Amino acid sequence: MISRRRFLSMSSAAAAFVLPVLKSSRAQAQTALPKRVVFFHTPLGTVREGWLPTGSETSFTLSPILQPLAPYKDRLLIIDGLAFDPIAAPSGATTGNHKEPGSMLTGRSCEGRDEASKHTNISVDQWLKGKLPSSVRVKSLELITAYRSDYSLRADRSLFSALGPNLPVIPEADPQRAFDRTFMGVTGAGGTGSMPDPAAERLRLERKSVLDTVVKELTGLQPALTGFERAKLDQHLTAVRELEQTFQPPTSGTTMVQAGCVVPSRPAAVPQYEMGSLPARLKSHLQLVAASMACDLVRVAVVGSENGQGRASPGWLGSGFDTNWHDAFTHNTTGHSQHQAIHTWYAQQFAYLVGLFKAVPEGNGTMLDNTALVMFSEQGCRYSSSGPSEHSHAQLPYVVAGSCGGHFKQGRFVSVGTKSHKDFLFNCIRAMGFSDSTFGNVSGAPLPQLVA
Amino acid sequence: MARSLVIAALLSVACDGSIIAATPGASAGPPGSTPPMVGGTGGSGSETGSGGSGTGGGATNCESAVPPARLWRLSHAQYDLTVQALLGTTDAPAESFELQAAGSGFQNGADTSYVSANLAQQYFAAAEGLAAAAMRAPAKVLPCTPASPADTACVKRFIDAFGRQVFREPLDAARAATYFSLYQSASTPARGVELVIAAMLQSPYFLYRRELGAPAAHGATVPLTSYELASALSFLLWDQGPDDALLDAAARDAVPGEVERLLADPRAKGFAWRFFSQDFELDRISHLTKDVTVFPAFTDALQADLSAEAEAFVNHVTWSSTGTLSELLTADYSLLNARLGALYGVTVSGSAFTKTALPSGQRSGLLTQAGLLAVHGDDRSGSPVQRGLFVRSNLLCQEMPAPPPNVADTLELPGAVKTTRQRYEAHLQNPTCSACHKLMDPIGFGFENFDGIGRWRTTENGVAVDVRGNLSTTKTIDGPFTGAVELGQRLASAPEVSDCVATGWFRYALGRVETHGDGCSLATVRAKFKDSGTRLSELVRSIISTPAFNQRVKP
Repeated sequence: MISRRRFLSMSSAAAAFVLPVLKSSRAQAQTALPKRVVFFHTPLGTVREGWLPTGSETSFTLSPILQPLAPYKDRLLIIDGLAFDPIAAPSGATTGNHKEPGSMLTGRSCEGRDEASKHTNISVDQWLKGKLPSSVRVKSLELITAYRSDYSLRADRSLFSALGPNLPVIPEADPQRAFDRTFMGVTGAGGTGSMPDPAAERLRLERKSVLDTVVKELTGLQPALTGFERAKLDQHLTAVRELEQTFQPPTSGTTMVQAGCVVPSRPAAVPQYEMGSLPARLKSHLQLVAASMACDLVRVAVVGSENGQGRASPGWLGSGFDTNWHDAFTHNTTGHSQHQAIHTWYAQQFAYLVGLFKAVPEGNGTMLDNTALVMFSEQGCRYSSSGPSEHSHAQLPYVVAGSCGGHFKQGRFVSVGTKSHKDFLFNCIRAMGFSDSTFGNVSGAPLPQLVA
Repeated sequence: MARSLVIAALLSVACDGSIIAATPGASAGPPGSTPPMVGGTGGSGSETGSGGSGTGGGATNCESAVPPARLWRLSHAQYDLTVQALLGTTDAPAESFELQAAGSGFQNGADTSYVSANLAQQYFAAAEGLAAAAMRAPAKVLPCTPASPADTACVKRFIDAFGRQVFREPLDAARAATYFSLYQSASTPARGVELVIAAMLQSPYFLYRRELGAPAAHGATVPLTSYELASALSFLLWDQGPDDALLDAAARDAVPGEVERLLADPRAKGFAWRFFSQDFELDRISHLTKDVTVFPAFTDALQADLSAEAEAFVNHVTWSSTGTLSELLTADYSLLNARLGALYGVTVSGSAFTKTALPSGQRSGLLTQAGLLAVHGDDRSGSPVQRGLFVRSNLLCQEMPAPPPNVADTLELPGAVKTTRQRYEAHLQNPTCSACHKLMDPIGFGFENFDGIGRWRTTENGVAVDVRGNLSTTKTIDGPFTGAVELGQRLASAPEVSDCVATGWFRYALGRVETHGDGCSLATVRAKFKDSGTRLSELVRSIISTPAFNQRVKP
């Protein structure tokens, strides 16, 4: 077998010519700092009474679940009242349970019967990715903490991102693979940026010839196809051209880095199916998101955690948790405190992410100033007071950290009444600097209550 | 594959107990793109199955619309097996490719499989690695050794011959010239050959199965070309590309004459397992997680054995016995080694899997294999809901609706009551729950002789288990039953179960959900399967004879 290690040694052949982080526009113009958005998912809905802050918009007390975010309270926008809106469903589709993940970022319900149901729109992260300049090399990360062969991820509608209807983006679960894909051939501060040696240059040209041949094959096949089949082939062509770009030579004689760019070392391997490996995988994912954004390789990221029917066993929270969470703590009346403990743990992880962004200097402040870190769940509040657990589509819990260049209010707890979750996606679009009132086939407008 | 709620569904069950004809095709076409080929009126093709005459076109009240031309990306398994056959390697680079879209309920559905930026990079790295490895023993792929870049004859022979194998059809002169100029761009002849291999392995002619037919006018119905048909057959039966003999037959337009050879070839050995491992979710056995405090016996080694048992059993039935669905659902034996013998309560020695009679009256084929029972269970116990849902959706092809939003889904934790059945019976007391759960749980109760990892039991927490179950809302097999053996026999006798498995296989073979236009094709397949006494090889033969399989409409 060709082991992953062997492929990596091939990748390091690719890195034989060192590809420095390319200068982005901000290096020339301090005013144009990159903006970024990160969607951080917490599964299975939260515990309402443990999540909802008390007090007014400007003077509020953090709930127990959100306590880990207390150090960043003045940077938070806590949003209550977003809901799956039936209008988000295409006509004839049902907003049935289990379709939520694939609907969260597309703004539109997945269509079709349960596990065979499919995305009906491009997701906002992929739409934003398409708007980014080519100088941002990797552009987006789609990460997940569970493996596809786990029960929940076997259906396409469990995936957050899509390139369009029927085109799910498969997230990466393996930290090392995600790292290799992002940082292959990149050196940060102190990178040499020297001209490539002749052997490396020859390799680069040979690879270009190979990919040129592949492009020729793809374009030769295009005329035989129309509609969706043609779109699939076009996507393949785009992917190969993106790959070709990564083999472009570095600009000669320049060593360019973002101020806060530190290329991290390759993360440790995380066992694939071992219970309890989720925290290590999530932490690695969060570090990759922060590091890649600090180097301006990436501006959009989605970090999914085992989705709606995730079966992780959060044994790291202590005895009594070493069983699959979905089965043990959601479909019953007694899982209330465990569910709250799990979501408190997720808030801790989100606080860790906020801390990573706040630690990267940028402009006159930190990277957090120019980022929206969005913590959300694909379901509403799972428990209310002592009531039963619900598969709720209302009162989705959202927390935004960072204003993304001034768009989002900070230090606020805002109740929006009842608004469609898709409207929030337009806040993200606006925050990222785009004035569009549609993405894909979804139209909307940002919620003014959230805007600073 | 996980289609527990999905797949079968030609019928939906409303929770008032009525069966409603669903609309095939509702989810078949990519939203926002070309609509599926659905006729304007008429009943759903699904309902014609039981009355189908077996002649397809002669079946009444069904529709026949040929599906559109398409590309179908190789699955990761197909990629590995195919490059292994092409290059004589044991490398399996696709094992670390990105995960596959689920599409129609089976891995790698045709609708949702495409090449992402990530996958393109992985194809690139794999192709480089495979090409480099191939050049360490170039005689395997080269018909001759190019002496110098000027030795064009040898290289052109190589491009034609190897290209025909990689692309599963001959290259035309223009494409051959493209590869030849790539060869010439390299610094040495060996490097040139290596680049050609690397590029061919990233070509869409390699990565996709083409189902385009010969050039024709827009809207024309055309048969798959002989080469396309050869690929379609070999990927369905062997999960890999055609061999030389099959390509030679394609050159003579004699592919249909190859079917029996393909079916008899050792490469076809897993054809039934590949379907059932996904359809019954048996591919999940090896990485299930259970609460180790409740099931300390559920070790990695046991899981590996249970997975191997299921595969050995399906292969045994297919190749050494009747080859029927009926036997898969009712066999009173399995293929066991010593460790599994202990689990099943029989004496077996050694680590090899040998055919072993199971304790009388306890088990009924795949339905009661410990692996399948463990898959359809919870972390700490068996699940009558999941087991009942499995029968309802995967064997009766009735889709259960997902639980509605904003509904309380509470259930007592284990320990509050004595038996699993008692715990789940709470569902049936609550009218909100029972509307749907009465269609699942009473079937699942029939499996109460098996704990969460499929071990036989007659008591649970000191209380005798109650294995009385009930089938309702079926076409022909309603009524009470006692225990899984009776349930298995009832299911194996039911035409609707053979229709359901035929439908699943139809989807698997085509990589998509059926549409109204497949109505006549599907009716024929179901009728032939039934008439053959549920022989799986006959099921496959009938699928490959349908227009849905072997014809396309030009875009």
